[in-house]
Amino acid sequence: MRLTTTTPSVSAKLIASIAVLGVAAAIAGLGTFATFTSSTSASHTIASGTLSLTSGPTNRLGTGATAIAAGDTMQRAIDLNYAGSVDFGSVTLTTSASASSALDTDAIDGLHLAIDKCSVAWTESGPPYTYTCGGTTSSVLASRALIGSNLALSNLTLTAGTTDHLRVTVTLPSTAGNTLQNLSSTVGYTFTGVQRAGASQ
Amino acid sequence: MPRPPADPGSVRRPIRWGTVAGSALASFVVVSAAFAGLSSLASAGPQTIASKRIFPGARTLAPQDFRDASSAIESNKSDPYSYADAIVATTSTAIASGTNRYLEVTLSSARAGGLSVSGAQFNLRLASSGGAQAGNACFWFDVRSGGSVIGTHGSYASATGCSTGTTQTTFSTAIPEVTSTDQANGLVIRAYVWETGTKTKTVDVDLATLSGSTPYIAFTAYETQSVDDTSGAPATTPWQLGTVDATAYTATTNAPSATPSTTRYLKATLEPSVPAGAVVTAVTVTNVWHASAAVTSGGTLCYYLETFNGATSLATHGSGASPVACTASGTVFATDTISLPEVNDVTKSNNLVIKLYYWVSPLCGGGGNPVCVKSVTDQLRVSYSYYLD
Repeated sequence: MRLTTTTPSVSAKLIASIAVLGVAAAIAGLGTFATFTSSTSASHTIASGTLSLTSGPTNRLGTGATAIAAGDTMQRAIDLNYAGSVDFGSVTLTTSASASSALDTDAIDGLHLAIDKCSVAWTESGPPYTYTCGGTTSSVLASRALIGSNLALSNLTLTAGTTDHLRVTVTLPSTAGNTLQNLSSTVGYTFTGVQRAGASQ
Repeated sequence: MPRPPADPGSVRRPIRWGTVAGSALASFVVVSAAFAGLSSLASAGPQTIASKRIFPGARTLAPQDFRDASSAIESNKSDPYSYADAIVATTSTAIASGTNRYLEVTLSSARAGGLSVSGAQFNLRLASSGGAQAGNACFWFDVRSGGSVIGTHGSYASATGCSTGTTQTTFSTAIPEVTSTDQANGLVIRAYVWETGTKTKTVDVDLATLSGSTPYIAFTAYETQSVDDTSGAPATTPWQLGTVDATAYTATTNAPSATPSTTRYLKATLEPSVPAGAVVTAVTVTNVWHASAAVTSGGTLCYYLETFNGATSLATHGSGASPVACTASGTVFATDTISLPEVNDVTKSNNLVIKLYYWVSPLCGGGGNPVCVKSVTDQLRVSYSYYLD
């Protein structure tokens, strides 16, 4: 009977040696970096604010006027409310005519617009409506042609939760001639408010 | 069944467009993000604003119908061009066809400006003055506004109208070129009149007016000034009550002595000019006048006036005991403006009649008394302030 033995190859021996060395090195490494560990966790809630521009309760801008003549003025009060939780940075006004005539297209002799603010609610009398201020008045928009886009408004409070009491005065200049007789325009007012600039919170 | 291989170009094209669209969208998103922030709108209105149909203003006119009863018998001293009556204006010169000489009238400005005018027409009533070998009176005319001719009607070859002989005939010719009160006010019409007789004659003009309608009132505009150029040398004649000028009206008879008389007066009837529905806010009359000669011996010529709604008395201003004004001057015109608050609506305005009662105070005539004088009126105008909502 013939006895047969098997001898490992050289390459197998080399691989086995590398594996042994690797395991040893790993064990040594673990021993080198080991220490005490502990952990804690924190969380916060970030909620965005709201910005809301509303009008009222005083709002006479829907009240028109008939049979105006050169030199006539019409006053209408409106409250602008800075609702929501974010302060406003600015408010602009855009006026447009859905039914147009020379009353609104004649920038010189046609209707003009000015806006004042009272620190307290305007005291109304009429109709025809007129207003007196029991507090302090300031100019929000100097007199200019009625129709305009993105007109910058000044001296507004803009603080969230507050209200500005505005008086809109529309005037047909005394220079208006006979070409402005017997005309009619329908005007809409849009106040646009944008938030304050970003800030650290 | 196997699909045919796709054309490589047709495959790449959608990919390229997709790339472009994607890039644009990405840019938009980036830009939007850069400008994003909170905003809020509050709208108000709509607000309808309408202007008056006629703006407030004062419109002034002189009476064309004027009667003189200074003698206690009323005589018609109305403007010859204003009414179809026995009072005519005769051209200064006999005039034949083709001369380009004319008779021109400037019409009053009593209407509110800025209104449309419809149905405008020029009314001319004329006839030959007649006489031996007289013929007919013919005319053509042009229309002038703002110094420019805006319309021509007829010609020497094609007359607008011809009356027969001495029979006054009215010709009303549409002048559609007059479309607004801005044109009608102060409109000038130049009528080229001529006489067709074998021996050329003068022409009698009985009436030269403008008629038409605004949206609110039908109107007739009367002349404030005429120019007679039939001689080749234009002669201007303003209506004597219309303006302050060298032309004045002298009463036919001396004013009564010591006290006024309600039967001796000058009477002015105003043309209807205030639109229906108008709100009359003020009416005034201005009288520019003096005595026909200096009133001597401390005397004065005085007057008061009375207003009427047609024939119905409205109010008196002044009286025999308290005159509106007095003057001793025979040369210097006095100007009085008297408010007439009783004329406070359209009806009263359009039917307004004013009588002026003059007298010399105290007694005039005779030894030691002031001389008796007539009134001289340079201007008598009424101003109506009104608007129409």
